[in-house]
Amino acid sequence: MAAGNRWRIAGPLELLVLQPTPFCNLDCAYCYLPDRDSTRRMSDATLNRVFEFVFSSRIVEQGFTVVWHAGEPMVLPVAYYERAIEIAGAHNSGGLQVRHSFQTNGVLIDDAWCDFFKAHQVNVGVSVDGPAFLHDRNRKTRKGAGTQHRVMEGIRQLQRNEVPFHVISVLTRESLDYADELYDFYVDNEIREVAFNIEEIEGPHAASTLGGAGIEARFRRFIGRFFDLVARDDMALSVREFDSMVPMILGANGNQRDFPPTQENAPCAIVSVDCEGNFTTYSPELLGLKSSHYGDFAIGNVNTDTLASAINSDKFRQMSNDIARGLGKCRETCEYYSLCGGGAPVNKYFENGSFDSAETMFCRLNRKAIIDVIVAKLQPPVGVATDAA
Amino acid sequence: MKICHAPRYQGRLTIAERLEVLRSNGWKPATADEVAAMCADDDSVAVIGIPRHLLKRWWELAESDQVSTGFEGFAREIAEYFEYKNWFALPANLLMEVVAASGDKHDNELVPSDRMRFANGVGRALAWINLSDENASIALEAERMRIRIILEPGEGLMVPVSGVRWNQSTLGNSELAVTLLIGSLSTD
Repeated sequence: MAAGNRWRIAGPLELLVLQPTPFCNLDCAYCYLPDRDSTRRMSDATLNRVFEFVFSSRIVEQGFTVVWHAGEPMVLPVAYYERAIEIAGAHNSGGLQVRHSFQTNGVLIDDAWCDFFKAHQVNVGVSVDGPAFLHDRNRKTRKGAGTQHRVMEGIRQLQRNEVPFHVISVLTRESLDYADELYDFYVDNEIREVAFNIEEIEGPHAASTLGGAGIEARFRRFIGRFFDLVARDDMALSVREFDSMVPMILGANGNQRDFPPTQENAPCAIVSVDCEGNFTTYSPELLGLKSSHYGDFAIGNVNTDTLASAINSDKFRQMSNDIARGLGKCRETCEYYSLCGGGAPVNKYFENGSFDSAETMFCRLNRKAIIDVIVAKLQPPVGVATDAA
Repeated sequence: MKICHAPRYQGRLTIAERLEVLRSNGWKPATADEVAAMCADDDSVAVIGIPRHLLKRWWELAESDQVSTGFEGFAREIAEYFEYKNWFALPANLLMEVVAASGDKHDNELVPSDRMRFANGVGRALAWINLSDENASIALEAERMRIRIILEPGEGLMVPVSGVRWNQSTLGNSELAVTLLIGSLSTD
């Protein structure tokens, strides 16, 4: 999907985030999902309505990705998703490419799930924070036990069944001293693709261990060390933050105003639907969170509203205007805008109290620090000629 | 003398699992009271470790015919790792050398760490790393007793600048014990 299309009023849709259930079988310390005890699930009727709603809207032009998330998707049986994919196909009269993606904690992966993933070419992302001494600090069962050994069993199931996957690791304050241990963990466990998320401030997770004094310097040391380790191995380990940023840095032309907003800042590039059919756009994490300003962030319900009525609602207009103003502040004030695209509205709201704002902790760490470190690493050493004369 | 795990290092073994005391009938696990008396967090002998990728780098180097040419690069990587861990300020006259010892016991005679004989002269030992593929141990002179600390492959000890009396102490394994010595040469 061309990012340049994100200048439109709404869409095109790139990501459809569906919450099959808010329930999660784990109780991670940094989780932002407010309703993860609830065992509600998206009904067949709502599934039907979601795909009817999406495919009949004007925001679908090309293919898009369905991400099953916002609760642990694998607590529902394989048969649920077989049916959901059938329902999606029934509404996809244009034969657009719809890719399915699971973001899972990995503890329930078995052969049946692997067969399903392979049959439908599902993109699988497993959340694992590294070695047990890091992972088990935060990713616990409801009884408080560590889960790393169970996640690794799930990862080994994927590997035995030759299901491609990537992992997402949340970086906390503790992780920052263990770049080598994390690197060893990925290499030793034959994990080829890694994405780092930072412990963000969102909704009920109102404080991050990355928010304290001195953390930014430690974060930069971590990123620098990890970059060196990956580079030393000819970038054999794919790290989302490096793989996405290096080409942008090398190709940056410095023309800030031309740079399109990110998916999270573009209306209806992402649509997120909860298990009751309530939907919103912009940052997927907004779905289900409460706001003193907006009440909640849902702009409609697929069972009762159309997309057109939703984007004409006062709430959407207010959110959209605030987000656009925040994006404008980023564009005007931030020298990193041309490599960032405006940060994430959810972080702006929950860190700064308003969408109409610019810099966040997420920006300082996940954008500015990473960009600075990569730029420094890509500089040739002093005295080394750059031209092959 | 006290013993701890270095900050920013996660070992598999606890101090209690590592610590042995030399008694009249040989090396025996330390009692709970002895362990409690010896554990501390500051100004201590600290257990450290290098990551597996660096240990593997050493083994690849050792099995190649390029130890002499490749050692400088390996030493630089070790120094960068120590710098990242911020375990101690690397001295300008930092030196590293690898010593191999047979399976004979060395713990009968302890030597001072602050007057160590290196290949290039006398200096101060700052740390030792077990580069073997088996557990090894370091014997130390503690108050009124001799102790040893068991180290898994890649693990080592960092010693305070005030110095300790130490030597390698083999665990009955027949192969060579290979140790990376990290220190600084005396300037006088």
